[in-house]
Amino acid sequence: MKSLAEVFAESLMIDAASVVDSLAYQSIKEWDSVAHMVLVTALEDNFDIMLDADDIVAMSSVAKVREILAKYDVAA
Amino acid sequence: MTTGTPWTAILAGHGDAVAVRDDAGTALTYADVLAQRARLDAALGRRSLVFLRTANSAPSVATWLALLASDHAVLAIEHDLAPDRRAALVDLYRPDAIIDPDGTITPGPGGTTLHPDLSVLLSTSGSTGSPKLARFTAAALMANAQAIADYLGLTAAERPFLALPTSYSYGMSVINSHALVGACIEVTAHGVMQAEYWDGLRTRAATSLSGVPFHYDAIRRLGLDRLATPTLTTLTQAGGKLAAPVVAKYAEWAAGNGRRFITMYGQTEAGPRLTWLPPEHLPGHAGAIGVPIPGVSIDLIAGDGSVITEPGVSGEMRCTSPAIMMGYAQGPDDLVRGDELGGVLMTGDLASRDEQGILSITGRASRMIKLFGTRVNLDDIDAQLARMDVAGAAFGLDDQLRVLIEGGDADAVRAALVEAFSFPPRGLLVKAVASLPRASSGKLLYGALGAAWDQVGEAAT
Repeated sequence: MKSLAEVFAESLMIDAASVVDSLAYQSIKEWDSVAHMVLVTALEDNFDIMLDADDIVAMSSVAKVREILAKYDVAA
Repeated sequence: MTTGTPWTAILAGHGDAVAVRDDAGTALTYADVLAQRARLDAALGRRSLVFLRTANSAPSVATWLALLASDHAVLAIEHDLAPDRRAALVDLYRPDAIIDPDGTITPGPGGTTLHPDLSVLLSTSGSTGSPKLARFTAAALMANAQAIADYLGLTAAERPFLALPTSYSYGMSVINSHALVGACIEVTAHGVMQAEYWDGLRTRAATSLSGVPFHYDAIRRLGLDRLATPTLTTLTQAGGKLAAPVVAKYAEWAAGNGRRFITMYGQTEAGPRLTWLPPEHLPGHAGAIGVPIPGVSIDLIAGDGSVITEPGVSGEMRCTSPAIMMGYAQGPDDLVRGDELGGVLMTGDLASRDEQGILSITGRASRMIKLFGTRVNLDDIDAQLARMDVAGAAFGLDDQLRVLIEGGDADAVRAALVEAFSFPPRGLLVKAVASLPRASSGKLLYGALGAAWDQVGEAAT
């Protein structure tokens, strides 16, 4: 299983070092709606979960994603 | 300075009706649009070439409409277009002014001579800041807006929820067709993957939404029930081909929930709308582009130049429409040119007709791809590589732009291209090879790029 930072880095095609809690949706060009869809699929595959639609549209930052994953018993 | 365009009286007739509302709740009326027109006239002084940096805000949309109703010629560019690309466009076309999304006017170099009929310039590939523009008269864009309003049955009661950019011909056509009937355009800067988008769709009582194939794929993942707001009646789709099974799913949902799902086809050069698929034809025709919109006729042309009459045979679409552009512009000298096409456009797309006369796309021009609904001219990518002094070439397919470079750092080149352009970065892949496939003359073999690409291991991306 990959780390949350690795999943982010691969999905958004960015450097893992730039994946920090404060990184927010649309704050960088690479995190747009297209990448968000890739990220959702990667999170589901990596952590073996099925994300609820309300959670998908609420994933507005790395910190928020971590918080949402906790609801699925994923410590990331 | 006050003669105006066919739009002026139409917009003035809508008076104090709200023309546009944005995420912040800012609402501007059609009277405000006309007041903005007067303010621009006073500031610009005479017929001018202006660049409008568009954003999805009420002031930006109002300024777009004000310019449409003015004697000025406007090029809409995305507000987040990279500064060096914007500067290149300013250096090339020498606008008299650049207007920010909030209406702030900055004087430009000026000095470009304009044809009297020229009203609007649209980039043929907005996300790349392509210098190749399509030239339009105000009357042409009005004819297209009127046709759209007719086939969709638009009225002043419509409240379209618009997330598409104004600089994108599809977004522009949503604005124009609804402004024509005096509707309130509910513009949003949020996307379908954000909670704010869905809150806005509901609380702002939107009656329609418009999306490219990617948006409909994303909404499908979130669940179509999200669309079942009390007021949403119409879903329109354009900007590329939505897979037939996905079309069928939306058609089924729409029929079962008393909504309309309408797929459409167009080209920027056609101002832009050319065909639509009336919902009654949807069963059995998922994936088809449908029939010509009012005022448009389409012939399919065979390789020998003859018009194809039998069903099931592919030919290049030749479209006759009052909304066809005057012609292209590659530089400022072209802005003085008049109509060069006479209302006829060879689209470069291949299509066939079935027995019922329903059109389907069967192929297309080779140097153009759609990246999540955004048209990308591969020549623009090659030109940027040349500016970066990188030996390489772009090719690709829908939703995947591939750039093959000769040696060098693929990651660095990718980062630079992401910085230069505003298409969705996830669609861009860069690989490095020792040498690009070339003919003995040294000419690049575009047809061999795919094979060379496949020979590079995934690890090299």
